Amino acid sequence: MTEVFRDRLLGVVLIAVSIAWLAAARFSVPEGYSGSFFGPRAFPEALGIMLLVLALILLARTFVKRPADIEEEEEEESQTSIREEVWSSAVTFGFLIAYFVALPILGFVISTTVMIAGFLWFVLRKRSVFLLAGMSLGFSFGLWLLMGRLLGVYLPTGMFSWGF
Amino acid sequence: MDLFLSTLAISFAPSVVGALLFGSIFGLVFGAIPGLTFTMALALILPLTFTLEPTAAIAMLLSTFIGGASGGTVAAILVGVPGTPSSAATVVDGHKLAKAGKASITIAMATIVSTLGGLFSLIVMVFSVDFLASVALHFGPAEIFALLIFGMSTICGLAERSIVRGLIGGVIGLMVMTIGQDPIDGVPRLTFGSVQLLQGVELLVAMIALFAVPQVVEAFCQHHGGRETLVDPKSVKVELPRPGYIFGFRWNILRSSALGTIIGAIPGTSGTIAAFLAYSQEKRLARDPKSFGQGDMGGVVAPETANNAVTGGSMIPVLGLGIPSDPATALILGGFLIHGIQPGPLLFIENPQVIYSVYMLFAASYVLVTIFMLFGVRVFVKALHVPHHLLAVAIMVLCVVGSYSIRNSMFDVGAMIVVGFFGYLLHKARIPLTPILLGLVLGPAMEREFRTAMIMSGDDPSIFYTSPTALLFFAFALIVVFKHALGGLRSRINLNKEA
Repeated sequence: MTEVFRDRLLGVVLIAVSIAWLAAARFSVPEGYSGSFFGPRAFPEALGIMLLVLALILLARTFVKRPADIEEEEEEESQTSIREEVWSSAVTFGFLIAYFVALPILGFVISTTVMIAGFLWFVLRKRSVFLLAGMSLGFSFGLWLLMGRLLGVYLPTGMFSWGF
Repeated sequence: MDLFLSTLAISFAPSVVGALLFGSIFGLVFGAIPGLTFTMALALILPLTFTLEPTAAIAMLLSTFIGGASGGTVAAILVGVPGTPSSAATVVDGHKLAKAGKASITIAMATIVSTLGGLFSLIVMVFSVDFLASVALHFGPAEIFALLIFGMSTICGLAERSIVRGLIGGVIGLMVMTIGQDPIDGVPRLTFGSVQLLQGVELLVAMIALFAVPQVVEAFCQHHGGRETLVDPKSVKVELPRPGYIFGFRWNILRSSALGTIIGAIPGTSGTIAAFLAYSQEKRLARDPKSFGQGDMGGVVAPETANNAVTGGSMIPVLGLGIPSDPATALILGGFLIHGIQPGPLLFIENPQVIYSVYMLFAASYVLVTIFMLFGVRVFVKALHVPHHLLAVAIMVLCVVGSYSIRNSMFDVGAMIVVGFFGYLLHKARIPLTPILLGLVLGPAMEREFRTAMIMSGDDPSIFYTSPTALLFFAFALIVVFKHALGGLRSRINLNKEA
């Protein structure tokens, strides 16, 4: 993906977002009660307009960019391939979503142990029992003791109310 | 002299020293874990002070406050995730320095300058509590709005290469913070009927998502591609800065301390604003501004000095007027009241011993926190020995737990994942994340102050240009914008000439 294409895509997406935002601000935000001209809609609308203008500037700049600028920017492209990017973002967000679902059901200690061990085994392909057990149990019990018991921070107990 | 000696004896009784030690460690731990803040630490520790005698209770509250303000640095430098909002500006250069093998010196330097900033603010507090408290009272909505506009102008300095991209980031940050309940009228905005969205996006949740998630993805990406750099334990040296090295930053420390103290004294502002303003100020004044953002120690010194100088500054309205300047000082004020101490002008006349005691405990807390941090450097840098992909797993768990524990809400965890996803996309689209953060931090206060000013003036905009203080801040903001725009234009002309 070239820099120019990326900027054009970003510009178009931002224009669409700003138009949708402006429509939402206009039709879903009620008028306020303060009687001031600058009611609850004023800031969201002003920000939507600002984003629209900035997106248009970004888009316009892609048509006047000199080849030297483009070369300079593309030199800084990282070495990562699309495949690596997709894999790494999929495993990260996959873990976060699965953990998000498991926490209120299984509670903090069990879900954290299972999630860390599972991630290490299936995704990172770790086979050391010491690492698997040490990291998953150590981290979940360590955090539970530190936060739940010592610092008095509430952690999810799960739907079975096991207390951990 | 008798009063001084008796205060000294009371302030350093064994029970008070014990309270200082406990509070410092409690605050440090809370500050160091992303998602936990010193405000939360203060809220949790307040009930523990009920059974203590007043001086020990004040000691515990103050040391928790100071420990928490200092602890956020560790996570910001080592992991690249700010432990507290006020350490967000430290991430920019601090984490790059840690990656370059200078973690220990960076943490030590940040600790020392934090203490210097804190002690500077203490000295200012001692000598000018009456004066500064009365000056701070003259800051109305128009003046605070102008100050926040000045704060927003720092986007030009934080925008990395493109001001347009930086501004887009800032606007996106501001937009996110308009979601939820309107701060003046209380009507729902862009919540689409969702009750949970009424509470809006929690700043700390957004911060965790924006800084941590792209880093985690990057770590797995490098691991998958076989490009992960393993840190050789022998290469991570534990070194502390020499006095001459610290002395080299004397003007930076002085300027940032003064800025932090003044910002702290103004109600409605915070350490985060002070840190970003100090960072931007030092970047402007640096011989090589381009090195800021690439791992410049000056970029760690400025925000760390300023965000700790805020602690003394924020105590000025508390002690002088009995007005808290932020949620943390509101909790401290609550602690004072629970123990029968009524801060305000009368306290200086009726019970000066309490005031002297606060000064002494403040200084002692800073010394204790510095000792803990400097001894802890050896332990902290051990985190660098852990392979990045394993550290990333731990960070993911901390992101979820940290987001949950802010309001005990799974909704916040969901919001963290969603904001993290969009933050990652924006990062890939080369939208700098720091301006987004600035928008998130300043957005709610900016809107609140602007609209309050307009309601007060009956929609007459002259409220902004008839106040000399507001005009001064607007002028500062204009200078910053023009300076950066001019700098950009000059470098473009030079590039064209070279081409």
